[in-house]
Amino acid sequence: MTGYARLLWVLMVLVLVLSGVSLSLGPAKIGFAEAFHALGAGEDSMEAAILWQIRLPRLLLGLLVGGSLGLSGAALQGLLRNPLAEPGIIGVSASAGFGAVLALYFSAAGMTLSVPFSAMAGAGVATALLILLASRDASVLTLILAGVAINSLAGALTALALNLSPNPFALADMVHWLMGSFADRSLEDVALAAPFILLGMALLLLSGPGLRALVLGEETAASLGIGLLKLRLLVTIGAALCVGAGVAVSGAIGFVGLVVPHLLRPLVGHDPARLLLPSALAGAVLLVAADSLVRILPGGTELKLGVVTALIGAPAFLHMVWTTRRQMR
Amino acid sequence: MTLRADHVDISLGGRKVVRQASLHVAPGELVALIGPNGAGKSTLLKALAGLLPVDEGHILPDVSVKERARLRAWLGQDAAIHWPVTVERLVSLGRLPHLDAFHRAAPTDREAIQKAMAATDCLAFARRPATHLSAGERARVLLARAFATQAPFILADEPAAALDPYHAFQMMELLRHEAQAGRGVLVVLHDLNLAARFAHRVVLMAEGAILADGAAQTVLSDDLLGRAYGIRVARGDGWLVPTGRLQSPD
Repeated sequence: MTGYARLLWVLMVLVLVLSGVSLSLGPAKIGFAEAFHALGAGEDSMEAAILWQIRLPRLLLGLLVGGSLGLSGAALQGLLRNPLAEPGIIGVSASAGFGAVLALYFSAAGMTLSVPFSAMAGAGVATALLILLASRDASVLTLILAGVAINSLAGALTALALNLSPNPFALADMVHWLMGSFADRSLEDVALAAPFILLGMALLLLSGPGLRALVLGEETAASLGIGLLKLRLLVTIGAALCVGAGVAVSGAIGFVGLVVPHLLRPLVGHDPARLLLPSALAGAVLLVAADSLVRILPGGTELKLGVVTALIGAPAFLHMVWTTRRQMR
Repeated sequence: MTLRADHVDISLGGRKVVRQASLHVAPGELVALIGPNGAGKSTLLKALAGLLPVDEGHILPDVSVKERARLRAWLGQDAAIHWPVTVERLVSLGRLPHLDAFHRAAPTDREAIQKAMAATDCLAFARRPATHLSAGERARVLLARAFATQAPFILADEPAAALDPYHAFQMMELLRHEAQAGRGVLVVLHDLNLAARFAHRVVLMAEGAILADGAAQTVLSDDLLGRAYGIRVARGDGWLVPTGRLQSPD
């Protein structure tokens, strides 16, 4: 078995083990065995209700969002040929966040708007803008700068909504939502996000050969028959679908897309194509693990997942920057 | 089959850089494309590689993108290596135009990669990261990548520019060897001695147009070099040295 195949197997086993752990965790004492029994039985027991309505959505979101963030990070780092790129760089997550905040703002004022739908609309606007730019043969640098602009605008608009928030409860709702969490999500949330995320992941997985050719730079990649425009669109749209739909149902969860590809890169010989699938699996592992951790941690208030990933991710990332600083010169 | 540019005009950023340029490379010959900075050499080479569109004229044979990638191997000027992949993996990128839809390497691919690394003397550091090489090793690895495609035509933009004389000779010998093996090789060169020594034919460009095309001794004449570069040269048996600018005070 090659090192690559072994890595994939290890990660798949980890996904399964952590999924089992995730399903057995919660305030209600339903262990591993009962959890599986309840999932399969489908009867109207209390256990089945908890599993199907609380724990399973949480697990599925963890797998989908974690996997897509890891994959998006790996693909964007490959496209931009920069190990510091992360899914948030294209501005779609900030736009989705603004969409969600806007919905919370108005629902608090008496109107009923679905948060995820509004978030997806926000992500859609940003994505449309990026596609417009990318399809006009914009350079990678243009894409990054556009991402910076979209990020700042969405950030400013989010701050404005917080600033003008009609009452403290709405403000608390928005702030909490922005921190990112899988708590209290339903299977409907999963059903809403899954098609977009899966489509986005499929697009990103197609980008492997193009990203590999980009090791030699854009000109040489083009001479090898790689369509650069198609590749940019593939990665941009793929990442936008993943991130937009992910943020729409879970809020902003940082550092997974940045750290996961970075950790795995030496294990796949720095090959941008071979980095994709392991990054998806490891992203899922990391986020399901982090989501399990927030449920185990003692204390009255459950920590928000986005807070935990940043608390663990940022120092880990700083450590990586420190140890690899020579290579980045 | 020859690779040819037929009366091509090329613009960069709205400015016409190449005018009515025609040149061809036949299998088995090494052609040196020389000329002063800004003459349009690299631009014409890129158009021949299919990396730039032409305003007028034709690049022949006119084939699909995939077919073009198999037909012409392109070796750019100071080409980048963006991730520390192994030398072997980097060289294997040359097989990209030949891979099937699943991008699986066939025995012929592996054979081509080994052959390219052997020809360029890269086997000794096949497992080393391609970003941790000396300039000479790096140039050979990038050349091996181009060889691995086994394209009938090789287009190289100043492959010897950053190399010391020993490695520059080695680079030119490798390219010449490929030409003798039946490939058509077109090389943009700044070193007139390398052009004189290794090329079967020399094409001289100035101000976007082809000024001369022929054997080294006719193209590298005092008159033509003076007109293209604005320089005086001294020459002896198998060498020539620029000695000054034509307009310079002395």
